[in-house]
Amino acid sequence: MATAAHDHDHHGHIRLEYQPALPIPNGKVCLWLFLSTEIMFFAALIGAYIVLRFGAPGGTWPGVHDVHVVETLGAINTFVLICSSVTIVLALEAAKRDQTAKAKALLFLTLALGTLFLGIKAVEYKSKFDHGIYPQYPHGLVYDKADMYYLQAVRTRLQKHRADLEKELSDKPSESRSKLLRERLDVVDTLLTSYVGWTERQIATSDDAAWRFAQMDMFAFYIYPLARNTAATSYLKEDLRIVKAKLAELAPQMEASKQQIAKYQEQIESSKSKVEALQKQIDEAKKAAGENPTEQQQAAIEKLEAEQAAAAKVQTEATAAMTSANAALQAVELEWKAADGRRKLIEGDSNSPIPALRAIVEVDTSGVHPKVHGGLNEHFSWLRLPLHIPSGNMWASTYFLLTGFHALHVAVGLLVFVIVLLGRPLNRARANVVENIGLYWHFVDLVWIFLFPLLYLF
Amino acid sequence: MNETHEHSEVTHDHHGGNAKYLAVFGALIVLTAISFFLANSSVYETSPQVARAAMLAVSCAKAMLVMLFFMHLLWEANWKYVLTIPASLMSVFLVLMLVPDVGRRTEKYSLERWRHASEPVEAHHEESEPHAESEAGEEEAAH
Repeated sequence: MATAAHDHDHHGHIRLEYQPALPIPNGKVCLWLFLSTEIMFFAALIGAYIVLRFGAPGGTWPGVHDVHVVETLGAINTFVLICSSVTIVLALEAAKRDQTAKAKALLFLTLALGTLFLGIKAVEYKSKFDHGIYPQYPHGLVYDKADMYYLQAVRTRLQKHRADLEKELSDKPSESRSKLLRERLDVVDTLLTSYVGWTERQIATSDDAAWRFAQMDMFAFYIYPLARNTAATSYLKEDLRIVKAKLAELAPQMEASKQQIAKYQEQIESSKSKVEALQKQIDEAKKAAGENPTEQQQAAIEKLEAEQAAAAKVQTEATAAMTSANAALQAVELEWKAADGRRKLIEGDSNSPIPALRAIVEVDTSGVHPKVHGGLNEHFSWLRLPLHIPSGNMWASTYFLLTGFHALHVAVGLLVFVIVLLGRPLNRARANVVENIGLYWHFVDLVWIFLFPLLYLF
Repeated sequence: MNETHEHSEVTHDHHGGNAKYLAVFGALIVLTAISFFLANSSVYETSPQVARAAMLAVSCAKAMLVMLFFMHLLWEANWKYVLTIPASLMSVFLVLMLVPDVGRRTEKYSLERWRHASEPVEAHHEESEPHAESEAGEEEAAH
């Protein structure tokens, strides 16, 4: 081709022979060069994911159901992309055969399938966001470890709820609204005392390290249950046993100190009446003695006064003893109330605003990937308490980065489809355009072929 | 070289062809189904490594099908090797180079580092690892 052009020019002292570098159109060369950089780009992302995932501290990587990944949706999206790959390759065949209407229809179908893919992707993203899993901290509720920081984050969150609810209540909202707010306040208060407060006390006072860890596991589990923490259900049994033992231990103590207080009360009453009776006697004796009492009368009065002083002393002592016994009873009652609150939280109670802890979590270990759902966050969706997912932040970063970049490529492809569809008819002359966008689209499909098993099935 | 290019425009019918594409489509669906069922089978339960390797192999097969037929690499001239093989090698090296420092990072974790790592639940109860004690100390310190 180039040589023919040179034959015509008569400057021709140097006769150059041009060979195209590659036996394909320049556009295709550029696209393939671009794709070879894309191979490295996605290989880096996928490689980073594999390395981070399998290098994560042993066994911490979240299971698919722990982070609301639904394999079926991934499989449907795979199917959608494969279909779109077929439609675009058929569009190319149609364009090569000059069947412009068919090529256009097929390309439009590809566009529709790509849009469907993004739609499903959006639904998937939303399910993560709804559960507080975001790729970055300011919005994310994910904590990698269930430790003191996590516990305090839950407390802070509940206290903030409390302050917000009280503020809204003080603004005198409508009848139904204030009823709702009061119900929520009740839930928050119960959680602060019998859930957060109880766990804090257990961790602060227990000498058993394993029990402290079990308490933290359990604490995190009933907010956001993870399949790996299903052992928490057995800790709950143990916890209930301990709580019941505590209640059984405190009940006789409370009874005994109540009896003691009653005894002191009796003493106080009797000594009081004794003091009064003696006062009467003293008054009578003084009256009888008149201005100048005899020695005998004087002695009798002094004896009575001594007796009265003794009775008064008994009264004072009994009063002091009763005050301290009352304080002791109050302390025991407080302890009993805390334990009983915990019992109500575990077992459920008609007065408790929160259903039994055991009842709010459903554990299904029948399949290959155990499924666990429920928890306080799901039961009270307005709570949005911090969640404990080991390696959860790393998971979110890699998941959103990989699928995000892939979705971005899909979006760019869709944009190009629209531009091509709006252009001239897709005849044989434009088949190379269809071929190029097809190559790009197949590459996008290719990336998804690897992302699907890595993100949904591993 | 020029000839192959010009021929590909005119005589496209002897490669590609709608029947072939539909056959590839069918194969891709079957392969996807295979990896889906692998992930939900007893193989994954008993030896996840085997299942994962199989799933990756299936993915490679799917990728090859897409590249060879849909991207027409099967019928392209030898330039295809120039563009695809170096890029693929680069990506393999890239991943391998991440392994020692990032992939195996937890093997050399210090006690201090473990304190801030997310840990497996089992470590708390079964292993008598030093980091379990250090965490207990941390919690006591917090009070």
